[in-house]
Amino acid sequence: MIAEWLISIIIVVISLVFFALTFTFSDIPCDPGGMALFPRTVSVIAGVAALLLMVRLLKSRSSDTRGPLESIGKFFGSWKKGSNDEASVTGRRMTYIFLASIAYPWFIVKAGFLPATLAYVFVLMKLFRSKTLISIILSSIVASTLYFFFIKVLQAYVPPGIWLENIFD
Amino acid sequence: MDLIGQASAILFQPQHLILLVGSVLAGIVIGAAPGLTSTMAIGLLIPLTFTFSKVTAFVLLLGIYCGAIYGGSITAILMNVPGTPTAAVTAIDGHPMTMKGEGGIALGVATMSSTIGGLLSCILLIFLSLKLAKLATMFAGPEYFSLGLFATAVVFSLSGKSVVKGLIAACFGLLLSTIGIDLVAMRPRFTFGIQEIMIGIPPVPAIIGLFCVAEAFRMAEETEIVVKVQKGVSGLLVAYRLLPKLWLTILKSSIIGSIIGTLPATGALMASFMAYGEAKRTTKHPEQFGKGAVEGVCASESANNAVTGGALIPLLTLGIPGDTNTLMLMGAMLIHGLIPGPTLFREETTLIYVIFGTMILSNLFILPLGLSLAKHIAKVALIKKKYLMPAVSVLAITGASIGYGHVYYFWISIIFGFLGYFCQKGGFSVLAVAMTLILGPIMEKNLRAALMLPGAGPMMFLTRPISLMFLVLAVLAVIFGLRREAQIRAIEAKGTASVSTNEEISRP
Repeated sequence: MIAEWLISIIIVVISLVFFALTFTFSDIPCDPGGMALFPRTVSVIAGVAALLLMVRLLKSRSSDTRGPLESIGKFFGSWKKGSNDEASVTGRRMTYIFLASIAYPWFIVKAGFLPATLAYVFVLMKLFRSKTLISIILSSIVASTLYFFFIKVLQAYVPPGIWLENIFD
Repeated sequence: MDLIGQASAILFQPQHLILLVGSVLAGIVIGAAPGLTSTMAIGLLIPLTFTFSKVTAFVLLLGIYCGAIYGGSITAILMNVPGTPTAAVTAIDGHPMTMKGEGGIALGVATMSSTIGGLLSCILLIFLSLKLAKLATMFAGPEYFSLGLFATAVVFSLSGKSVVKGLIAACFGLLLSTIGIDLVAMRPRFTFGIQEIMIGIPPVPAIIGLFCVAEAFRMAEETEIVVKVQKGVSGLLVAYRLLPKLWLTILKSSIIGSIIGTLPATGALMASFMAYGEAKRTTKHPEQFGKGAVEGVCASESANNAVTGGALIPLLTLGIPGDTNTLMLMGAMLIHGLIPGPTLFREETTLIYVIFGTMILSNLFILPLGLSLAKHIAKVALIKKKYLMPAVSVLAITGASIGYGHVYYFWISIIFGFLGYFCQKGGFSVLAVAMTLILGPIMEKNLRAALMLPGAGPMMFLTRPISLMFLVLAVLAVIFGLRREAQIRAIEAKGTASVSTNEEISRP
């Protein structure tokens, strides 16, 4: 599975980077363990365990355990023209949801909380093939309810958005 | 007695009573909605408590917790759609009872069993936590480090199918917990020169990301289940006549649930399964189980609600969250400046008694609310995923982050949402990542504090009795986990072998 490979590779990389960085930490005489002891030990255990898992995954490449390249190939296969089976549709929808979620905080900074939240909810609803009018109404309700709840009840700071600030400046 | 009086005076204030009834009801509704778990219910409502006092915040969150654990049973019984994963065991017999026209009785039994199970676990919570908190005052750095190691070992060994994957997940959480300013040396670690990362990984947005945002993503890929509302559900109040026949099952299941609740990485689902298995083993009519046995519903529901009290014991006394719900509650405690453990019993005694009282009242409120509203609450299962998922997703991302007032926290919720989603996909324990993210700083701080003691060395962890006990238990947990994994692999191999044999037979 792609997730097993992805997590294993991430862990190996992170543990290598963390392990190497622990050697740059300076020692403090009154702290025998120091800043490095704990992360260094954990990164060694994590790296070894992740490598062990990768070896195990390579050894048991049965039908449900694909190699990293095959998994990536399957993922891109769902983007081929005419791939309209349920798995491909779900795969594409998940990718769009991930992209929308990544864009959301960026958009909050640029456009402000209210427009960004409205757009995010609208996009998610459209990805589920909701009707446009219903999506507009519901996303407006959700976004404005959240906005007023955060502002009035929680008295939280809600990003106003750089674009909007620039217009009024 | 003074403390009980103070706590009662606080709890019986009209605003707290109204809030508690409302939160139990909200918990039942959220628990009944398929896809929304009790963990999500607590996670999504944590932001609401930002402006509340500590007492009010915990009245709300504990009411939600108890209500949501019960709420899952309603749709499980009436529609065969468990609102929460724990209610899946209730559905085994609850839904067949509905199909036989006994849905009302099943609901009534589930409600009464949940109430009694929850109340019995409260008794255990009160007595055991007061004793354990006194014992915990004897703990120093080495004991706390070994306790953290024990909790980590239990979580990575038992919370998934594979011990290696559990270990990877636990180490991942521990590594992430080291990011940011080191609180002993006051120097940055693993920040890569990025200013925002100096504050480290904030636990609350991270945990809400791991469980709630990831759950919203998972909801997006599940196929919509078409559910039908059962009409003419009656006989809810008749169920009390069955109590004399069911009391032993309720008592046994409640004890199982309470004990399972105290163990890390177990939770309500395991308690329900174990209580169900025990009820089936000891009944005179095991053949009725799975076909609408009222004892099955009763065992599952009393066990899963009994977990609520049990799970609070390690959290309150030792600062070790046992499951995802208590992990969320721990996040809420941190937000309100509370540090669970013996200090809590010393400095926040009134709050401790308010927590005990809230747990008792929440379980009591389940009874009238469940009996009178269950039929109507079941309709939440009809809400379509295409409306639910966007709302849950945006609430999970913003709710956890907005109180901090910086976009970095939004990123944390989203990145941990992806992490939780992919961890679950790959069979890595999300609970292990979340728990070690919380335990990491506690373990490191105590390890370094222990090594600073005069004449300290690695052997001190083995020469101090309590520390040694936790280390031995940790080793035993890993051995148990490895044996369990071997058994699962053997069963799966057998299954594959029989499938391939069947394929060979069926081949022309």
